[in-house]
Amino acid sequence: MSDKLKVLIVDDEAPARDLLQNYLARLHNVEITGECENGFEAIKTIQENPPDVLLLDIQMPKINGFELLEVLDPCPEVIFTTAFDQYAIKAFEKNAVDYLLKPFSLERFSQAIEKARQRIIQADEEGMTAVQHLKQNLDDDRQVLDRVVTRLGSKITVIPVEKICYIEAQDDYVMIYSELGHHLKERTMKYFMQYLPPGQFLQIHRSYIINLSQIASIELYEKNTHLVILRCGARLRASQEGYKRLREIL
Amino acid sequence: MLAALNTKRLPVIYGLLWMTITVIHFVLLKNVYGFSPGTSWGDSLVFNILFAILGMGLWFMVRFSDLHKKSFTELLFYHLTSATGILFIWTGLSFVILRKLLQSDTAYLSFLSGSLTMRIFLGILYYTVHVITYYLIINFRELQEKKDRENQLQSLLKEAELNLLRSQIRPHFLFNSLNSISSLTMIDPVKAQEMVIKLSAFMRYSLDTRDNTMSTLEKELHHTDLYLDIEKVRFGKRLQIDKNIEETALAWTMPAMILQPLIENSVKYGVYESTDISRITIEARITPDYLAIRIGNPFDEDSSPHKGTGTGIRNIEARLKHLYGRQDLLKIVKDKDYFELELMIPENVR
Repeated sequence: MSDKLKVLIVDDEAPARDLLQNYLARLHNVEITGECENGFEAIKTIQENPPDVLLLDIQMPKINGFELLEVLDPCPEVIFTTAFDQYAIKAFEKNAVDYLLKPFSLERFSQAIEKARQRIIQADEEGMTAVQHLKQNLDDDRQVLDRVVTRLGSKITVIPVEKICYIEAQDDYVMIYSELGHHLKERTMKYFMQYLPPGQFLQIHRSYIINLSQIASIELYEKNTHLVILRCGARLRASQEGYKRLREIL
Repeated sequence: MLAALNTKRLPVIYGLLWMTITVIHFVLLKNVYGFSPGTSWGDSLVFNILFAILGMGLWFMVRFSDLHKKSFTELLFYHLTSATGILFIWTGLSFVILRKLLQSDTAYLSFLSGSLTMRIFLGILYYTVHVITYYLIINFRELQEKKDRENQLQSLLKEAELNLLRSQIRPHFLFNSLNSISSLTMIDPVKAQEMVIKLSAFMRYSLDTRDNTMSTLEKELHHTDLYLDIEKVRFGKRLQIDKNIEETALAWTMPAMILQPLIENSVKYGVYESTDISRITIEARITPDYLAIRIGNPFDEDSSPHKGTGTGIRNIEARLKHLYGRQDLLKIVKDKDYFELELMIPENVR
């Protein structure tokens, strides 16, 4: 870490950004690397100039604060700033440095910044960012996914789950095929089976999860093997067990 | 018949019934048994007035013999005892009084002595009718009370529910606005003061409104403007408003706190979820029977995490139903990229 703590502001409300600017200007050894109005801008800015600390609002258009964190790699230390208190527990589970409830005082804010600074110094000594935990922890308490956020370079795509055709396992990743094209996501099949809306998706094979509303037809392929043909054109092999599950549902 | 069970009317009805019985009693004695009018009146009045008084006392005995808590045998025993007591007092007193009063009429005195069995049967009949009627009245009253309590509870529940719905919309707006003010106090104190005043006026109108408070379109628009001014400070250019209001519509009476929550809903779906400019349109015009208000906003189906109808809209629907007794006054038109609300306000509440 350089002497100065590099801070990026992400908030969709101008006065909220102004306030953070103003507070940061009164603190020593901090440098503002930018101000972003939404998640898309944030991705770009973070790639061009990775900050040490992210001041992050949660409620933002298109992709929210938590979804932004999901696609960041590496992820900076995060201080959430929000008017909602119902996300606090989730934020700390994600290993956030601090959770500031709007409106907050300069004193409270500078405490949060100092906490972040301490954490970064400690992490430098231990040779890993604490935030790596954050990414690992992101999987838990979400109830049901209604959209998936993916990133390729600085391009972010938000895929509503209804638009997913199928998901294919690719080593540590999955490829999501949808109306919007195909997108790689750093997640496991298990994760998707757990969080996709139940009854709408089904795993028909070790490597495939399909959207049930996309099924066009099912054909016998060989003895004991079936092919599932999807509206998007894909022809996927169902395992014996997958086919059994499929028959139960249909 | 049910209205007759009103507490004030009951004694009057009781009195009238006894008067009728007394007259019949008198006519029977005079015309069938051939006693003189004086003797007939004496017998009729003494017996009937006495039982009417004892019957009133019976009311309290029935009232305090709780029907639900006693077993049947206990109840039977209770009434046998009280019936015996009352009959004994009734016949005893009547005989003593009449013997003194009409001692000169010997024919009557021998009739009186011979009539004891008949009097006892009559007394049992009176007693039974009294007790049954009293139980019916008590039961009916309990039922009525239970119904009243249930109604009261229902309306309390409804109010609590509406209050809850209302309070669910507020906090995030309030805290974000306070954060904007906190920011403006350092950067632009004059604007900060302006915003505090607007927020106060906005909160006052919201807090003063009850579910049945009536207002006018003009006041509602003013309140909406306060809200939009505050949101404009937060969202800047992202929030654009197109207003098209007929001059003649301004004075139209409408429930208070209807327009702003609907606009807030549009801002929530339109502006909160958009990275671009969002244009919200507000139109109001008079049709022959209604004030028609149309609110529209662009809407991105994919990015909206809120599925279904918002609590704000459900709340308004509930209030409109409550006030006008109609469920068709608020129409929602939802398109892939456009959201429109059509609100009809009738001239009078029901």
